[in-house]
Order: sequence, then C-alpha cells, then structure tokens
Amino acid sequence: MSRGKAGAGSSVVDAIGRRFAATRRQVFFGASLGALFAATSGVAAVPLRLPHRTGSVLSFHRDEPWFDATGAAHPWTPPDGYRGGRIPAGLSDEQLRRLDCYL
Amino acid sequence: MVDFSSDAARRGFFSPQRYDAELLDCEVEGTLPADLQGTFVRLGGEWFYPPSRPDDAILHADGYISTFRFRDGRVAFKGKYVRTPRFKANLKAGRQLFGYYRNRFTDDPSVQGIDGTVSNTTPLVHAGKLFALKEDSLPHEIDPVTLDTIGPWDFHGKYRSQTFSAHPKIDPATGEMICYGNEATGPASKDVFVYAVDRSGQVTREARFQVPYVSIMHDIALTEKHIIFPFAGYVTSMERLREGRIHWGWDRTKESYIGIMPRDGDGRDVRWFRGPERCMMHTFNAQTVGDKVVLYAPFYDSNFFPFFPNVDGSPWDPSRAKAYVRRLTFDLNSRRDTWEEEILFPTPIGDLGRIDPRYLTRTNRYCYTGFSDPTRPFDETRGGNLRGRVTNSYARFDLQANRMDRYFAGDTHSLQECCFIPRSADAPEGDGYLIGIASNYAEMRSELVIVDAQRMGEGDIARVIMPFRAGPQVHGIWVRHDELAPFPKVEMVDS
Repeated sequence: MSRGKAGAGSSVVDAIGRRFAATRRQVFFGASLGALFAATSGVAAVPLRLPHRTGSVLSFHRDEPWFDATGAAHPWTPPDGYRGGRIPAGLSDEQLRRLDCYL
Repeated sequence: MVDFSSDAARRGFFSPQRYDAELLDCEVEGTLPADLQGTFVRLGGEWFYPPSRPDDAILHADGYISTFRFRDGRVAFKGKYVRTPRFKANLKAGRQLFGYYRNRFTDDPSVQGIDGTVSNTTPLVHAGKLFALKEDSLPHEIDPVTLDTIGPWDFHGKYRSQTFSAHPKIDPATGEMICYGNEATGPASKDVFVYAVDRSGQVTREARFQVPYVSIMHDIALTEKHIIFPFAGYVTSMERLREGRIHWGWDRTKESYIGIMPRDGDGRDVRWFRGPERCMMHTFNAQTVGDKVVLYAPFYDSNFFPFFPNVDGSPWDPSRAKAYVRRLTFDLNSRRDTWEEEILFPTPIGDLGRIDPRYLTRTNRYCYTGFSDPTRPFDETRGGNLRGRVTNSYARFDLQANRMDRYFAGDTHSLQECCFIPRSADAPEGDGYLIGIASNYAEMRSELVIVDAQRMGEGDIARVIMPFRAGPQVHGIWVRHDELAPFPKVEMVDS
C-alpha cells in the first residue's frame, strides 16, 4: 500500500502532511466549530484586519491539506487541462447523456 | 489516422483513452478489508475508433472488460478491449466500418458478414466460464487468466437464438441460469427464445413466444416460480432500419407490457399485462407470493436515452427521464390485464439497481443504486459545474423499514454502478460491501470506492487510487475467489 507523492520537495510536504494528518472534512468541521464559537462569543463583532496577503494559503489535494513547498504560497490547482469536468459542465443534459448515459 | 477532434464534447474527462492496461499493485487509501478476496469485473464501452455517425448511441462503443483482483489486502487492475470480430475488422482497416447502433444497413459493405456486436454490457460467470454480454449477439467467452477474447459461445450448439441477453438470471438455490434472446430470429423479429441452462452449462429447456410489438427487452426478473419479461416504448421495424436510422425510436403512445411465464411452462403460458408509458430497463428482484407476483424495479417514467429519438419528432425530455423504486403487483387470479404500481421512495434514482445476489427470487430487504443528491456540494472550481447532474451518491433502500441510507463520494466525483458483495457466504442480508468506480473530475482519474454497506453514512473504508480514468462501465459483478479460479493472472502473485 502506498501514498501519493508531491513531487519535488516531497519530503518536506510529507513531513507536514504527517504533522497535519487531518482530512479536508475534518479541517472544515474544525473551522465551522471555530466560526460558531466566534459568532456566539461576540468576537465576530470586532472588525478584523486581515493582512493584504497572507503568508500561507491552505488548499487541498486528495482530500488532505496542501502546502506549497516553494514558499510562493500558491494553492494547489490541477494542472491545465486536468479539470476534467470543465468541458462536460458546458454541455446540456442531453449532450451529457449522449456522452455517457450512466454518469 | 485516428482522429477524434471533430467531437468537441469528447474532451476533458470524456476524451478517448484507447488503452489495454495493467496495474500490478494499486495505490490504496484506507485499508482493504481482509475478507475481500475475489475479483470485481466490469464491462463497458469505449470508442476505439470514432463512431461513423456523430449522433450514434454510446451503447455502440467498443466493449472493454476490466478487473480489480483483491488478495490479502492488495489489489491489481487489468483492462482490455474485447476483441470482437468487429473490433478486429476495424483495427485491420484502421477506421470505423460500422454504422448506427444495430443497423447493419448502415455498415460498410466490407463487414456485412461480420458479427457487429461490441460485447459491452454485462460480465457473466456461469459454469466455470467468463463471458462478456450484449443483447444483440451470442455471449463472448473471455479467458479469465489473460482477459483475452476466446469467441462466441452457443452452449454446445443448443442455444438457437441469434441474440442473448445482457441480464440472464442465475438462481442462487440451484445454479440454474435463465437466459433469453430478444429479436431471436433477426432484427425487428417478434420472436423471443428462452432457455434454462443448468449449473454445468448444459441447455435443459427452451421456450419460444412472440411479443405484442418489437421493443427493447433488456432485463427480466426471476421468482422461484415465474419469469417476468418487461418491455415498453421503444420500437423498431425493418422499414426503419432500411431508412438508415438508429435501431430504436421511442413511441410514447405505446403501452408498456409485462409478460409472466411459469418457469416450468412454455411460450403458450405467457400471460401479458399492460400498463401506461414507462421506460423499463432494469429490475431489482421479484417474488411469487401465493397467487401474486411482486416485482421491484427502478423503471423510468419515459425515454431515458436521448440517442433513441422520439418517433413523433419531439425533443428528448430530461424531466421525464426519472426513475424511482417501484413495486408492481400482479394478481394472477384476477382477469384484469394490468398491475398495481407504487412508488416506494420519492427520490429520483439511477436505474442500475442491485441487490444481494443470494436473495434473487426470494424476499429481500435491501435494494442498492446510485442517485444524484442535490443537497451535497459540488466543487465547481475544481470539477466544473456538474452539481445535480451526476450520480454523487449510493443509496440503500430498506424495503422493510421504509428507510434510505446514503453514501456520498465527494464534491468532485460521480459514481458508476455499484455492486453488493456479501461479507461471507453465510452473512445476513446486507452485511457486506458496496463497491464501485468514482470518477474524479478534478484530477482526471478514477477511484474504486469500498463502502461498508451497513455504515454508508460514515464514508468509504478504502479507495483504490488509479492514475488514469477507468473508463465507462455499464455493469459489474463480484466473483468470489472460490467461485472461479482466482483471476486474472497477476505477476509475482501467480507466477
């Protein structure tokens, strides 16, 4: 059994991945609890000053947190052409079913 | 030269792949259950050469058989095109020689004498043989070790229909297979031939009858006493074929028909019942209860296939291509020639319905199928806007408790047909796994999900991560390792 590798710098990413061994759903669940806590405790009423550009961007790949190992703070995005649903999304229901009736 | 560029829709996730492939030890997320020992066999269609008619049916794409073999917590994948005579003729010519779906008048003259089947619908294991099935020709036998195509099989010359079925039924109590051929004596013929084949593969009985009108008879249902033959709506004729049109059209004025024949009867014993417009493709299960026959089926309200056009010229209506879990009750003691129909759950579903195969012909509690759950998210940024348009969930319908359980595959995924695997030969009904291919639109690849069928809401327990797309599937089956010698052969495991 094996895990996917992140390419160059994968050892760093793997180390981070092991440290943050949370799934996307768990992270969202945690974030939701945090938001709920903030809303109910009145903290949300305080205007927040968010930096114009954060030092890190959280994104997900294979349902796990993804950290850009280059330091450029880019979120993970599929390589060009890898958004396989982009072209089917522009089709009508009939065109979709003609392509694959059991989608 | 192979050129798919004229079809702009066949890009992205639906771009052609055209490969035979083998993955010796697949990547897995989660833990494969130790008791999952056997092979998940899939059959579907993938164009090897572009269709000669751009509006041809996807059901006419070349058959592709693939397997996931599970052993000791590991899994290997293997996939091959079914080498039908048609596939080989096209490969020799380097282009598509065949015309519209099941219309030989539209084929290139050079292939008029060649079997035109694509063998792309259902895998079957019976009497120690593996087959690829499609309802327009005989079964094609597949070598389970290599997945090479051996050729058509006529049951020692005793099977006389020109066509077979995509959905023969195997009685779990006896191993007897009930199979049939629709349009048995040629295209647009009203003849149906029905056969019983014993567990050793010998034809033991034949019955023949004619249908009220020629239509698709894609699936049947089997009880301990009866065989049930549904058909509806789709029409064809030799005139239609000579005019160069696709084999089937949809005539909404046609009544639906269901024939019921005693398993020990012959063609004269078929009793026909009639009903309103329906599209009857697949069944879940059926039982004979006293003088009544009860059929559970995921029938559609109307035409499901846009590539089989309405004969009145009206456009295909997706709002009427909706299927539901239905119960049809037939009173064999009544003189009425119709049935009582109930929709048991209001949720629209996909019609690729499955049950625990050990309960075929008997009263079963659970039915499984895929459906589109509009309440679940779809990540448009990563997967394209397919929200509500793809099968993102599996459902288990509890017919006793009137309850629906759900499994959600993910926010960039759609699911192909599921298959239920009993945990063991003597496990209670419903104790086992659901298995099926998920298409990951964001990452342009497929994942095989394994779900505990009693804990669907908890998500999958393992995913086999494929580095490429597994290709479209119509139907799949689970073959236990003790049912047929473990197959296919895997390097290092079997050498």
